[in-house]
Amino acid sequence: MPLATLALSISVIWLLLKGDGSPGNFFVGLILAMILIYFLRRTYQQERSFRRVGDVVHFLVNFTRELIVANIQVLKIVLSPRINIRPGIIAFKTECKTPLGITLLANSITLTPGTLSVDISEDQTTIFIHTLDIEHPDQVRDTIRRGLEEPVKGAFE
Amino acid sequence: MSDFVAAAAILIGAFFMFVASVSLVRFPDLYTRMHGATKATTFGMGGILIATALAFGTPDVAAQSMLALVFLFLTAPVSGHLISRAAYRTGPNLAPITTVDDYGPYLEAEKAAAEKKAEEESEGGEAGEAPGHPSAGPPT
Repeated sequence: MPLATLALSISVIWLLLKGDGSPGNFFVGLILAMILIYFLRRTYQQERSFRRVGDVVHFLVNFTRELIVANIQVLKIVLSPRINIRPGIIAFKTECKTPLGITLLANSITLTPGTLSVDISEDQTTIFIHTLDIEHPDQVRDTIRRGLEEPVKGAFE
Repeated sequence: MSDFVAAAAILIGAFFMFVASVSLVRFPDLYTRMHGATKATTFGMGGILIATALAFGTPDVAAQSMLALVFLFLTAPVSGHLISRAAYRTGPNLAPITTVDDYGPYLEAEKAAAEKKAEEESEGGEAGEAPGHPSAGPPT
């Protein structure tokens, strides 16, 4: 995303947050966007943000489905009369390469109940995931790979 | 009609918030509690924010609630990630029922590598001042 587009989208977000679409407010947003970009310019990388809108929708649909399914699973565990869980931390080798992809994957893993990304290895290849109930580590890895990693890769890498 | 949908969304949201609180009491250690605290809360907030958008029915409130939701989904995992990471590094305190731990061995390997590197650097700096130190590797 070029810097101008970034500045514009930040000011549009500002407009939506303020709920006041007057031109003066827009310029306030634009100035704020420029200040933000100035301070964060070191961390900003030019990279392709996403491939196709369809892939992003695919990711969002998959993510929402994982979110709902997993929320209900955790709900069952929490409200069951006896808590019978096998928690643990598993290593997950990720195929995501770009910082954006890894960040999104780690964030979606955390947002999906039952899994929580604890750390990412120094070389950014392995995500350590705390899992609430592990029946078999490979089964957990499989679910994450199919449900989250592939959509993230398809949409943002 | 939209009032009923909004009421249902608030109830669902509140219910998930409640479940999150119950999980804090019932789960055995910090990591399992984080599961409840960071996620059921997100889901619960989602329900309540959607309800807000529906109940007010004006575009600016809807836009604000959706933005709040987006930022919540972007920031909640970061804090969860940092808390659990800091907790593990200051003493794992995993519940005894924990079955697998791939992270401990990785951290130890990382620590060993860092120590080795520091040792090599200090040895390189003061090579002449360590006469009794065998350089042929650690004793076995």
